[in-house]
Amino acid sequence: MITKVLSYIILAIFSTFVLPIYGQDASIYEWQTNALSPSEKRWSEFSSSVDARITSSLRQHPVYHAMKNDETDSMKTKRDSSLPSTFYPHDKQNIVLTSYGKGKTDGDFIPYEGKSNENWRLFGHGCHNFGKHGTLYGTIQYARGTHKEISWSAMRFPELYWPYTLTDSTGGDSKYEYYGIEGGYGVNLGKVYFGVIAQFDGELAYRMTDPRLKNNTTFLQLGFDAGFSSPKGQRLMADAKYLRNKEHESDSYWRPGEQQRFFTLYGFGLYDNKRSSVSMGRSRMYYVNGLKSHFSYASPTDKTVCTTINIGLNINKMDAEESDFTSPYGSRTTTLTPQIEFKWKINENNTISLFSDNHLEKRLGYERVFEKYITNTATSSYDYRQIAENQYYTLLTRQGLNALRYSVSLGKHHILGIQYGIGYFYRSEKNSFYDFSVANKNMINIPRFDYKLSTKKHELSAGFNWGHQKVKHHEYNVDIKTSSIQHLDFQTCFAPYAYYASEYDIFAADLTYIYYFKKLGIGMRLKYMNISGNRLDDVEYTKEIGFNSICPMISPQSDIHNEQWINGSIFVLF
Amino acid sequence: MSNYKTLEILTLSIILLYGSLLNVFSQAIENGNNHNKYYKISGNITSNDGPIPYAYVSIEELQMNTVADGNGHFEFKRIPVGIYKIESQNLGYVDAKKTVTVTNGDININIKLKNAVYELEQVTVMAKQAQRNKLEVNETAIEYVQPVSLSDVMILLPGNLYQQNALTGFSLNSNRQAGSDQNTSLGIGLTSDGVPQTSDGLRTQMVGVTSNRGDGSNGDSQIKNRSSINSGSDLRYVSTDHIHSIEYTKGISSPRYGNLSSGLIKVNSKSGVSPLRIRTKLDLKNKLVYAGKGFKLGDKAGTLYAGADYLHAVDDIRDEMDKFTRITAQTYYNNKFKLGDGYSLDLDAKIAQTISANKMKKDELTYEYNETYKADYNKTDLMVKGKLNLGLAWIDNIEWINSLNRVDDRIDRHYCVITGNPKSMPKSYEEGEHEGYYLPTMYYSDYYVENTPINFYTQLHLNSRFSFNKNWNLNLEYGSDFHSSKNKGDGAVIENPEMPPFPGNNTYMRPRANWSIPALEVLGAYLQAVLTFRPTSTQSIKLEAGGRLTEMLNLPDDYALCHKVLTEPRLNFSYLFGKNFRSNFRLGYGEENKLPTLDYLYPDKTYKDFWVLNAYTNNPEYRHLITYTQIYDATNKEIRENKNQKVEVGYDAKYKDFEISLTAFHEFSNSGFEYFTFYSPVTYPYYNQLKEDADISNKKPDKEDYVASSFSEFTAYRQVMNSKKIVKNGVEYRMIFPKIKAIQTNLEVNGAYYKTTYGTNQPDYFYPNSKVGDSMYPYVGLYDLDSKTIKQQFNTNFWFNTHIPKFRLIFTNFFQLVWFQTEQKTDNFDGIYKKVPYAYMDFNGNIHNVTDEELSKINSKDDAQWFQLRRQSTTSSYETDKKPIYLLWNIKATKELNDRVKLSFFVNGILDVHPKYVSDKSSTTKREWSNPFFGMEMVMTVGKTKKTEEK
Repeated sequence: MITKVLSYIILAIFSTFVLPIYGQDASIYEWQTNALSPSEKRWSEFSSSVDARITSSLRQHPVYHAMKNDETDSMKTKRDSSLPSTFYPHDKQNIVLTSYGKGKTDGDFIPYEGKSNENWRLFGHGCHNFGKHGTLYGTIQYARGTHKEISWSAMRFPELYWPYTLTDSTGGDSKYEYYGIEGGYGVNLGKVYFGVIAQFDGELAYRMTDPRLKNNTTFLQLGFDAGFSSPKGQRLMADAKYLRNKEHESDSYWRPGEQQRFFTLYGFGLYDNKRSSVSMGRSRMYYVNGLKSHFSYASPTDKTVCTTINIGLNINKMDAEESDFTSPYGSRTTTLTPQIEFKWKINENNTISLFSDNHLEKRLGYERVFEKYITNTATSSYDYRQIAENQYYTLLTRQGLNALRYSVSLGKHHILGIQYGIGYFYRSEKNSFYDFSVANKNMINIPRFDYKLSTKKHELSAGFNWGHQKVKHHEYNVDIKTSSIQHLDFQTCFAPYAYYASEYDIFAADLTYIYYFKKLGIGMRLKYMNISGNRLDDVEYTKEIGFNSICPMISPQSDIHNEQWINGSIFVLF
Repeated sequence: MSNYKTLEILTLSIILLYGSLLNVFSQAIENGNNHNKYYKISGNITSNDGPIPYAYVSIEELQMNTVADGNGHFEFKRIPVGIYKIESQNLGYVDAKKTVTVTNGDININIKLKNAVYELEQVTVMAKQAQRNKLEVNETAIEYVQPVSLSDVMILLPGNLYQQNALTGFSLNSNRQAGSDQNTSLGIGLTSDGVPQTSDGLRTQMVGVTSNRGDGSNGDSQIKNRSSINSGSDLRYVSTDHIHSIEYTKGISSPRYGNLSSGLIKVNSKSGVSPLRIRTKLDLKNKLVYAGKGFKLGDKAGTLYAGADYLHAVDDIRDEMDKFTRITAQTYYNNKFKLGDGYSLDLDAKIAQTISANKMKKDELTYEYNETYKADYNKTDLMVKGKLNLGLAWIDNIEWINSLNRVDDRIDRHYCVITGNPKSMPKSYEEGEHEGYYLPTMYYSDYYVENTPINFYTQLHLNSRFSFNKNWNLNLEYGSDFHSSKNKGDGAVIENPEMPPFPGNNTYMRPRANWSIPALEVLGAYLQAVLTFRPTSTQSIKLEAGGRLTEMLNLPDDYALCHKVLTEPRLNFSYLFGKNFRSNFRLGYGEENKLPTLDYLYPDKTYKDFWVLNAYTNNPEYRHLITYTQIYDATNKEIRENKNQKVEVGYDAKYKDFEISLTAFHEFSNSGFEYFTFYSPVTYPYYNQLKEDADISNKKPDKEDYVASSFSEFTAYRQVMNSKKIVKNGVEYRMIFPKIKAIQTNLEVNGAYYKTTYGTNQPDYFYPNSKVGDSMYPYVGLYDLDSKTIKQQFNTNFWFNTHIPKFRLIFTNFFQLVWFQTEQKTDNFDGIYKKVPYAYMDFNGNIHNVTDEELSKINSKDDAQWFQLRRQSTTSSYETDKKPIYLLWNIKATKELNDRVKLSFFVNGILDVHPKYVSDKSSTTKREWSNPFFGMEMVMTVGKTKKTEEK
């Protein structure tokens, strides 16, 4: 808490000064690819550079691409020819990349994430400036992989629909094939920019062991964007996007008795005993419709002080639908993502940055009550109608990083950076009807050291992060007394709680090398993460585990919390 | 001998026809020679990089076409005075047209083709209207669809609805209808480079496999779902990677094409010179890779296009053991030989190979038994085509097409049979009493079905053109073709006949080999006269009148179709007028005949077996089974062609860039093929009751131990009939709007309203299948139901094609609005759910009309026997099942990164709006679901590429 308050104070102090700053985007290979596994996501949270985080936020705006292109054009005459083109990252706006990643956990793990993962991807991004006709950019990606030993989830991306997920006691490996495309266009009318963006991500995930699950998940984003670039170089951007996510889950190839091992959850280990066990061939659709708005401000990049502010607001509505058309569950989620950075270029060689990145989310869950009624007595036909809706469930998530960074240029070819960050994590689930609650609160220190060498032909960069997570608070107040049904709180409620109630050391690093030819650069990048720690001793499950399963499961008692992940990629920049 | 007679008659007919034409037009030609001169149109086809060798050139108005020589030079002779559009096409280039006016001298033109790159405004990705009601899909449009097989391209046609492809199973092809049916699918003609692609020589005469047993069994679903037998061309095997263009005729096709009834798909192969193109496609079901290149062999040696693709498809990705794999390879050679005296020969030759494997293995963990299904398909296709360009007064050109192909189609099945209890099994091929045996309660049966049709096709096609004066032109197309299909396969072979895969209630298999079946042979002759009258430069009246004579050869003398010459008149009239606002009225009438397939002509006999003595004990030595076998011949020697009569009226208009096309049609067929279920009485000896003094406790029982009696019952069997009735009505529409320049978007709106009635011309048979005392129920009722299923569908497809040449980008938004889809069952008792027969059959096979007295018994519950003939159904079965409006949104984007790399992405069903609705039939709330389907594709051009043309 003290650290958090301190961070805000430092932020406030910095924001009162107007100092010249040198601003620069992260290189394209740093910010483009999305996370294909929970391990990769954690690596990004721990290890992404401040530049990469800021660039990712700004690049959401199509108009930003157009603005940067205009800016690059105007900067061309000022370049130092001895510096490699990567000091002007927009020279190389196109990339083709292939990567392979692999990760595994020991001890505690979140059941729906699985114990290990492996993936391969092929990725391409291109941006083209058509002068007065605007800037067009696009990304295309194909990936495939496996999330192994997933347990207690029949869903992909269960956090989107949590806690109203499907789960089964069999578990297994979820293989997937992913296709993604994004396209944006920005154009200016004087200092005013307009843009449109469309993004589609689609994934087909499946399990090859019985009962065989198939999840067809798609994400669509359509948005309009507007921006203003002042004569002094200040940039304002705001967008509005429509989001739609749909997941269609179907299952087949049951063996006798497996129906009793499939459940529709509604949190805290409670399951819907009317909808469970799931009958053969019944399929489900989950929809999320949302509106998203993102606001960005970036101060002039040719000043000593540069300020970047990104604020995102996302309002989502989720509905779950059974194949007999009823919609038994729904949720409303509001997400706020404020991000701010101040960069102060003390002199030609020294820069200090202050950065804060936050993700605040609140979800309210709704459970609907249906009744079955006869519609035609002659044919004994029946139908369903909704008679009530209850709101008992609340999920709060707060997560973020506050960091202070100092970087120094050692001659024309070397840059050293030192960063100290403090991350925080808070997660709380509540059910007001049963008076259940679970909460986790953690803090993590993340010092970072990075180095970059750039010559005309070579580019080498490396980043190293060390961190230690401390548990600040944890509570588990779930006690299902219903004896008529076997409860699943250990599997679906205690396991995530136990995962977060761990203290560990983390080491995350990245190493990149690029060799530049006349027109293109060929590079390779390695990313690595190692987590080593333990669940707190007092975090144990002392009651009887409600349901015996063949899923891989965590220990009821304190256990190790280890994870290793490595990712290697090769790419071509042009 | 009879065949030769027929041939003679047909040949004579053609000679007479041609001779009479000579007389009729001789004077006109003389006049023409005196008063109208003919001129020559010649020229060169070039690109920025020089001449394009062997490019295709055509004159739309005169239906003339040729190929350029190795230096890109072409020539058309005997061109009368007039205004003509000369069009040229070549692989990798945008089609180009040039209008020329022939007045008083030869014309020499140069047509410059531009690379088909997205920097060009002219690139089109939609089907374009060709002559009459034909639609043509060119190479760019095919590529843009990102198809894996020909069926994927169908979405471009008005009225067609988006369907997710499923290559592991066969889907019926449909045309101008709501829903689909086997006869339409069978009747859709498919030609490849002028050669009909037929599957009429396939047979699957294995009772039980395709559910033609007649007892309502479902057959083997694994085979049924994958088989295209009696259902026309299996478009899964047609790779689009070898196709340059496709032409669809939904209505009345040219008389040149026969043995079809429901439209024509004409496919033209890739040929000519082109750089190496590599195509890679990935989507949720399919992984495809293709490579193809066109070589110039020399200035006089012609060109050779060679390409191959590999496709791996899995319908349900979880079902890893259910796969479809297809490899196709094709080489196409073409050349032009100059023969002196101004004659030339266009020579084409093609070798194509298709190999496909379809495998399914059920998981023993899932089903606790191990079954396999394996289908291997191998097709080798040879084609040689020569077109002699004479340019003579009487004959303009002669084209001779020859094709030989062999298909090896084999299904291997390892099938688990679970009978539940010991099933009696006969093994006789003769009628009467025979010893039988008992099957185990569970066993594996291994069998294969082998079809090896060898198809030969030859066609001699002639073209003559006459010009009476500057306003009147006559183009005659006539010729003769012959098609033979001989199946050399083994047919259905069971490795151990005593372990049959489908031991039904009393029907067992005794298949016969396909090689023992006579070959299908069809001889045809046709003539089409296209008379064009152009009274002014803004008016054109065209009459296409023609017909086709067809005879099936090699049929047994007692078949109704033997020595029968079938006629198919086809007539199209159009009137085109207007200068800026061009209107075209169309009117057409045609009859098209689909001939019965080998399977329909020579079905296997149905063996029905009944147990005479059935003494089963636990001790195998004391078991005794005697069966009585009755043989029914499913052959219908009266079987005829399926004649489809078509009438259509159309209107097309064009004003600047706005186009509209409307076609209303009516199609009537009352002779569709079907395995129709009949009932037949049978009486056989029956030994069921032990004699009082008989002791069979320690012996094998025999007939002497039982009281001799007889038993009568009805049994169902199927016979091929021309019993299906299909009436199709509808309106198809297409509107193309001028480009909205602000958003660089073309809008095309197309769709159709279809009303299709599926019925039968046979009475309905109903057998209560119950017992009256110890005997079986004695009557089968015949009902004049005239039952029909009426399906209606109305859809509108919106295609927003945003083409930004500057960005080298095409982006398509496809919205499919299906306003409604309905299905309703009706019959003569519509609304009345108590149906009574007009006649009944007794155990002697006699059919009696129902008397008033019997009718009152049928309607009275008091008479338990007669009352059973009253059929009852619920009123809800007559309710219309109406699905409300739904919307589907597909997107597709292709970006050319440069002249060498093109990237595409598509998402079908990115958004679907299927409202909830309450079904009138089931009184429950429903909602249709659809899953998005998506994928990507990359096309690379390797090697020398032409520089993009100047904009």
